[in-house]
Amino acid sequence: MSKLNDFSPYTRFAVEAYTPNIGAVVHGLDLRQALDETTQAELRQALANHEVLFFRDQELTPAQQVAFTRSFGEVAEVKAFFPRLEDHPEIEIVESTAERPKAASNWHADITWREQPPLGTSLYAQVIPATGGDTLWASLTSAYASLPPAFQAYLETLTAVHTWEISGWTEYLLAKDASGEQLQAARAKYPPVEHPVVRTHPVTGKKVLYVNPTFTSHIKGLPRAQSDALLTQLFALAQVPEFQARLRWQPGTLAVWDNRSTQHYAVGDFFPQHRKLHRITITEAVAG
Amino acid sequence: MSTIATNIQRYATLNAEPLTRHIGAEISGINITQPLNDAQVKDLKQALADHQVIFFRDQPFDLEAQKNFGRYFGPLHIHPGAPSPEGHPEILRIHADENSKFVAGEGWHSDVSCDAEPPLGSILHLHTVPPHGGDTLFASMYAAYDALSDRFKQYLEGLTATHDGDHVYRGRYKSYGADDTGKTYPRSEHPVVRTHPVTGRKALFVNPGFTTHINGLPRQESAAILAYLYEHSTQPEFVVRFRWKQHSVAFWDNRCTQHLAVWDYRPAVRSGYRVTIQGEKPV
Repeated sequence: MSKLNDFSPYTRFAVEAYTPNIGAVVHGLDLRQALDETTQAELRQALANHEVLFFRDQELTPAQQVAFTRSFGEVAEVKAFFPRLEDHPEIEIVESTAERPKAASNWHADITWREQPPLGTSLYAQVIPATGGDTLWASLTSAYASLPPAFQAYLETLTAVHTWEISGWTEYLLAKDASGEQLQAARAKYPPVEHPVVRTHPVTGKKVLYVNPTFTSHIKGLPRAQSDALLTQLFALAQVPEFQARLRWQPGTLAVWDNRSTQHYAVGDFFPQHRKLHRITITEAVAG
Repeated sequence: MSTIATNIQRYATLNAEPLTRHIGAEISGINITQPLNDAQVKDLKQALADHQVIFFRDQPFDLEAQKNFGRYFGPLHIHPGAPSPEGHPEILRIHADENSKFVAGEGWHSDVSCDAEPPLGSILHLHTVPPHGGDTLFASMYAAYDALSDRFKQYLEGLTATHDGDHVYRGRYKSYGADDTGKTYPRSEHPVVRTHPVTGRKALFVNPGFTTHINGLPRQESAAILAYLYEHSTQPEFVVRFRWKQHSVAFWDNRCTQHLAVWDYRPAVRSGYRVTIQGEKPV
């Protein structure tokens, strides 16, 4: 069930499928260069088509990474989760050290607990451990497509609730402030949101299974036991190796993923080695 | 520009580049299609012990050379059910094309763990690979065991599980002309935690392919425990995903790994041969 032949050819770069179902390596672009509008438009299409793009052997300054990432949409100056790079507030530093080892070893799509989750993210390797620290992406387009039509039709009637509260942030905020004030403030500012269980991708028009185990708490209107059982089944689809791409980072590798149709997982097998990447969040699409 | 620490391990006669923290290494500096000397065999055995699955590139085996390579590691195993190429009973053909209704190894398993003495290892050579897809995943059952809580390790101590070939092999090779009417497939009991005869390390020794239940437990308890062990042992942290090229070879240790073949390339052809090494009774 390869999707390889489904796409119009690109004119500004070559694309090599990473697996038949998800991922592509983009050849022929030097991301230090300003890219013309046609190239940028084709990159946006490629991102939607292949769901995660890999660029190898790129030598970028932080400013160049920011400029390149703007090909895909608005670049957000993010506030909360990771430390920011001095002089480049659009860049978040994803870093794990011996003193503070960490990796997001949980399947998730970024920030689905907001009404408008990010479009995607560009992630650029800075320090890579000798072994370990791969990243996995799962195609929720392929996951949806693998289901029988009658089941797809049923899922399309459902709505799910997404919240940051089930992801460990509640405990974190209480640990920071035992009075509970910070937790209450966060709850007021970011209440749970609803998303359809099946979303339509705004660029490809393909259906995407839109639940993830980090942020999706339950399906509306179902008894809890049924909701749990159904979500367990749906979450398991991201574990199917046929729907996954696994990247081993090399120096100069940059990945851009489509947060509208994928989930991802950072393999936490490299502690206590040093690992650092620069991350830029992409928000709404460029108009037109 | 980003930096990477080096990780090539140098043995006396070959190099190994680990692919993940817990399992898998790509070997270079050796031609395994030719006869090997004692030092090379020693290094290969050590590399297998160190990395649990070792990978080679550009090794265009013919069947005799592949069998000869396998024999350095022990007598060759004969599969209980699969037909073999004429004149080569020790060879297992691994083949998928547009007509395939299933592929070998679609689910997680350790080869023929239903045998009383399951194979030590398997050596797979692919002479034809699809343009994309067809990766193989290997999970470290050492890392999976090590990561269990101490309390859970205690719980598993002394338990054995039943591994049965019947539900796997019965009727499977009919399309190849094999008639297994009246045939009995192997069924054995093995410890859930196995001690590796070479490294002495403990490994989980259950797999969803062959393991039917843990002996001596109520069925529901056994099912819940196995479901947990399967989910636990196949986490990305314990897994290496190998991408094949033409004439790649993978040599894996069945005693401390399980593996899964990704089938995402239909209708393309993926084809090669496997040689399997006899093993010992698990303890």
